[in-house]
Amino acid sequence: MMKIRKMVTLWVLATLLYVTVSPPAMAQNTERDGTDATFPFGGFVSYMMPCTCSAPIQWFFMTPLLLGDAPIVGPLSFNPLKVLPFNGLFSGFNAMPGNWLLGRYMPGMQTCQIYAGTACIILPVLGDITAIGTSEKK
Amino acid sequence: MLYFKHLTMKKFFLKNSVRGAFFVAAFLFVFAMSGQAQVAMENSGTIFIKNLTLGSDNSDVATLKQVLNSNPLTSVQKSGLVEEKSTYFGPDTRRAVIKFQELYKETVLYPSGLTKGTGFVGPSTRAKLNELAKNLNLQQNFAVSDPVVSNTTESDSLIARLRALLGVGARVQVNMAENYQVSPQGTLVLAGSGFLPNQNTVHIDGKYLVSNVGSLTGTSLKVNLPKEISLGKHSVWVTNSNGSSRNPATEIYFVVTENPASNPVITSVSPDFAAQDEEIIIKGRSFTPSGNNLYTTLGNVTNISSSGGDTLRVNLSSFPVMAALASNPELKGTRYNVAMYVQNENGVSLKPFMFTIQIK
Repeated sequence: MMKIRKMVTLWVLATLLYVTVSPPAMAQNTERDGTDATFPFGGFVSYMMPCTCSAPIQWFFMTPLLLGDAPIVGPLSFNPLKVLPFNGLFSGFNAMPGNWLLGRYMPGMQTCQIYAGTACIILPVLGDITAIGTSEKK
Repeated sequence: MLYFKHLTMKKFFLKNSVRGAFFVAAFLFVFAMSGQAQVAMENSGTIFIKNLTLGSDNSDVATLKQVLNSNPLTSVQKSGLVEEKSTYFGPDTRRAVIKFQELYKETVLYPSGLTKGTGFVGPSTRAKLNELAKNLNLQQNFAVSDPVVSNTTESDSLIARLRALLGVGARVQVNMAENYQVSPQGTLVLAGSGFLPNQNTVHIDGKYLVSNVGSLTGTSLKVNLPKEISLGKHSVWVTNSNGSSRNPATEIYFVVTENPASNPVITSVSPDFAAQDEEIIIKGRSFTPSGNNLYTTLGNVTNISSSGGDTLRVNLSSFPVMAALASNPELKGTRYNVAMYVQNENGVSLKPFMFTIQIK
């Protein structure tokens, strides 16, 4: 009896949290018609900067950043509250400078804003990380 | 076993009718809220609120085609025997989207480090489409008098409170005063997000309140300054049913002055494809003799002097990211699109200036 009660309570709380949180998150991560709009990436984080106006998002500069055949360099944004290592595919979660990352990103998202003394400005990125793993264990 | 479980559940809900009622109420509340949240999003001043790609089939695609077909350079050209239905995003639409992205590459592609169109309608493409749709009068939801908009206030407030509690979702934010220096009794233009069509309250220093300020786009507010405001620097924030934009760590400021200067602007950066240890020359307007700060995707460099107010000189090696780029031999020959803003006592440049460097 207690078990069922706990299960029902947990289910209700989980649903409450999911439904409340999911509309904006879904709008950013996937298309409503079910098509995944994310792409794979790999790369080395050489520099990290907090997006002070859009905390807790971080700005990762990747050297190199591997999106296709040729290595490039460039920044991605990363929200540790939104990107969680739930999936075993993306294990060894430790997104910090000095580590190699493997994951998926959504191109075009501009979520990083930094404070520039009197105003908040968008710091352009190549995309927003939606799933992540690293070569290092925590 | 199933029957037993069923009985147990039934007993549970009978014995706990109050809790059962609470659960049902909670579900109804949550579902109502998620629906209202969608209404609020759709009324926030944008038509294209979701990404579109090959295979999408919905009414947004029809609107997308309307915008694309409004310009002969981006119109959807039929290539196959079968014509795409109006709500379907097929190969013809994708080709038109690529043309659109390349036509507006400065705002759609370059900020994302892209030079060629992808055919994927993501956030930057949607932003440009929304801007054009607004000019084409395709935005039925922009009107202040829209009855749906005026009905969302109470539920918005509940959503805002819950989301603020959880730290997620739509919220009001002020990014900058677009005219950083403004004359007394002038009009201050605030850029941000989450502004409502009406019932925004602008707070100045916590001393002055300007109520019921409207926003047609949800991203811009025009405020007539109170007559009694003093000369000097003031902080500003906005409250509405989406919450408060105030963050003490990132206060937004403007200056009231008799002789307002315009915000700094970068007009060129030379040379093209500068190397990691080269000096770059930044040309522009409204630079100050000292105290010019550069905010870039190479990191930030502060307190640069300007000769004549139109030139800044800085060596690329001064930027924090350059060391990591220069030390990696695998990156030789790599080009990187840099975005740069300049900030000084005249304000901050409204848009990033894009230029390209090359690792040698």
